[in-house]
Amino acid sequence: MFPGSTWFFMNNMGFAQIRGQEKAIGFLKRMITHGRMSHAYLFYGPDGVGKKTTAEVLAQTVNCLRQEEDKLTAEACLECSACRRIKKQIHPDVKLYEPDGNFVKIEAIRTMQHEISYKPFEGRYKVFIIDQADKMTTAAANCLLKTLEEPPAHSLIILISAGIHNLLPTVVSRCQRLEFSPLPASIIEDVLAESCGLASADAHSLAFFAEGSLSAAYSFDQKVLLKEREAVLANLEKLGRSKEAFLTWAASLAKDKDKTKLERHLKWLLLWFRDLLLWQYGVTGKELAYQDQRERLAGGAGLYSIAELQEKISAIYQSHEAIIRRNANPRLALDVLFMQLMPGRQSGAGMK
Amino acid sequence: MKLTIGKRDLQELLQRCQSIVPARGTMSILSYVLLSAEPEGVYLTATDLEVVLRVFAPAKVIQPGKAALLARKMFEIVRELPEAEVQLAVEDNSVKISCGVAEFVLSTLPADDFPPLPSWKEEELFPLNSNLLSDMIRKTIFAVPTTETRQTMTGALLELAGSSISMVGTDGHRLAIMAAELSAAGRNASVILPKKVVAELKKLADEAVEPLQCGFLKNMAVFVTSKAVLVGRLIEGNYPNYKQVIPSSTCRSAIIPKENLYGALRRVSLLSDERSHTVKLELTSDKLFLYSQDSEIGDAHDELPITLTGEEISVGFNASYVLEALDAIDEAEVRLEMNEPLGACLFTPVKKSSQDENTGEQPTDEQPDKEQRRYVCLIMPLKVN
Ligand SMILES: [Zn+2]
Repeated sequence: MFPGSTWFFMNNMGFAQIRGQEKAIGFLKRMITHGRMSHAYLFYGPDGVGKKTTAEVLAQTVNCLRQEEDKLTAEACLECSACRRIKKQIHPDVKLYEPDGNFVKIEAIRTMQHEISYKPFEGRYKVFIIDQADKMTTAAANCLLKTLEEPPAHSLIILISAGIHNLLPTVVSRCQRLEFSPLPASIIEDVLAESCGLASADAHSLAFFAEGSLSAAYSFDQKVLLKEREAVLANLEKLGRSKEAFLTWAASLAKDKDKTKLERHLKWLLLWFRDLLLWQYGVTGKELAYQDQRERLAGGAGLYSIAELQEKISAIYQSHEAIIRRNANPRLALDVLFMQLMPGRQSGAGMK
Repeated sequence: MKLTIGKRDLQELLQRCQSIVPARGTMSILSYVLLSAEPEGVYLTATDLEVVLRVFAPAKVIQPGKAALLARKMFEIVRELPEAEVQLAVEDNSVKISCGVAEFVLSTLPADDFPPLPSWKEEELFPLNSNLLSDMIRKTIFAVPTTETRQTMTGALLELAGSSISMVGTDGHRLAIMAAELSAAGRNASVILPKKVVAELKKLADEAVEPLQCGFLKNMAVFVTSKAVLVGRLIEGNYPNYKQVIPSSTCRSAIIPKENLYGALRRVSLLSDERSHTVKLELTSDKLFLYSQDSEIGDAHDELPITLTGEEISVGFNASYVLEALDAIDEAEVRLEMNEPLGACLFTPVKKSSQDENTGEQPTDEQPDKEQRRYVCLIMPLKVN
């Protein structure tokens, strides 16, 4: 289907439905209505916050059949044949280029340069969206530079990138830059609750897990994640009571060849200790990932000092790094981590 | 949608679409043809986004409708059917093809997924002699490169100005120009047609018995015959300023029998350098000497009688460029003109009788030809020692 973005599965997204990017979208809308469109844009910002959707909606807006011939408005109808085909990615004038393996290669840029040399097939603009433009090889970027220097008429190039630092400065300087911000958890929570029909407590937790990326939130298997959250909570309950239970948990996590499950557990664990730390600082509201677990948080926070919590958080980061990046033995790393997480290591277990 | 059509007719339509349907590509809808059943018959449309071809055949349409069908599979199926009437019935997302007792069901895509044809008005079209178009294409298309960093060169320039029409192709090393006068004033237009469009246009012009109805829209060129519509997407930008490379006068000129030159070049080029295909031409007052050398294999030499005006000269050419230029010249003699060894060299046909041209009388043994056709192929020489 449409790799990389889950936004396409949502129905009729227009500019109005893109949440949390008012600044970037307001700017684009003004450019469109004032007829001052740039030949090339660079949309940058964290993954999954709406860059690609904005690019698609921009393509719809300039090529919508219900727009007047010479005076564009900032609204695509989202229903005409052109809007519909752009969304289905079968419009002749709107092309999406993505990394082939790890890189956007020069072949892709050459194909683009060939296609950009024609007059539009049916639309006003030929729109070329290069997703993950920071993965362009140097050769590809240099090749693209030629087109950016002398863009053919009726063309609109949109580069999408997480940041601007991995792009050639000469490429960046030839594009109109638009920054996209990470989405506040509250927006992700709202969208998850609305479109996936999740209970508000569940949507709230998942929104924190998604770290500002709506497309990440969509790509989750929400049921599995929520179950894993419960498992983490249940195991934390045993924390400080039984070392054995903890080691059994470590063993069962380490068993799985697929490390993504382990990674998810570590993330839930991290969010828990983050919440405990916030609690210690007196945060008790919406900023907590485990907002619905206030009682447990209150109990848990009493077990550690602030310094201890900071230590535990960095221990979780370290074991994540060791297991995922450095291929450390998961069982060993988890055993060590869980022992470190036990409250009051020096004064012995059993206190509550 | 429901209709009945002769197997042969349907096969012909599908066959005609095969050269348009891309072999592979990123957009799966392009491997489909759009079948449109109208009261008067059946239209099939195929496109690779560079050209769009729509062909027509009469059919008994019971219920009009549209759907996109798999181009290759349809063709393979219909080709194997017995000679009889074929029934096509589209329902929901599939088409049922029945012929006698044989029956096939193929999945279809919605007609609205298919890229739409541009629309045009009847008065936007004007007639062009199909034989002239075909001739213009044949004499220029070989100079149009298939790949080129300057994208505007990958097409042929078609220009209409008042009553003159011209087509130009160039790859930067050679240039072919065919111009003619039209009996009726046409329109003013200057468009760059992609090489594939030009090739398809030649096919259309060759099979047409009547003049082609042509139109130049904002982004497309349209060519219409009674059986087919060809739409070609235009190339954006300005064509290279080719006129500046054509010398306005030349101080050397030779007239050479075309077939003799062609034969000698083919022979001598057998031992030319494998990459550059260089053949050296030495023109003296009454003889043309041809030399080639492959440093590893050997060398060759040939000669022909000619008449040269101007000083003697030696010049090197890529033999295949000259052979292609000669192929485009129908006349028995060719005129070769130049100023200096590394300057542009012009190859033009020598008209049968210059008297006829001057008096404006028709040549007796030829078909009357209202348009005065002018052709020139310019080739840049290679360095030779
Ligand atoms: Zn629309």
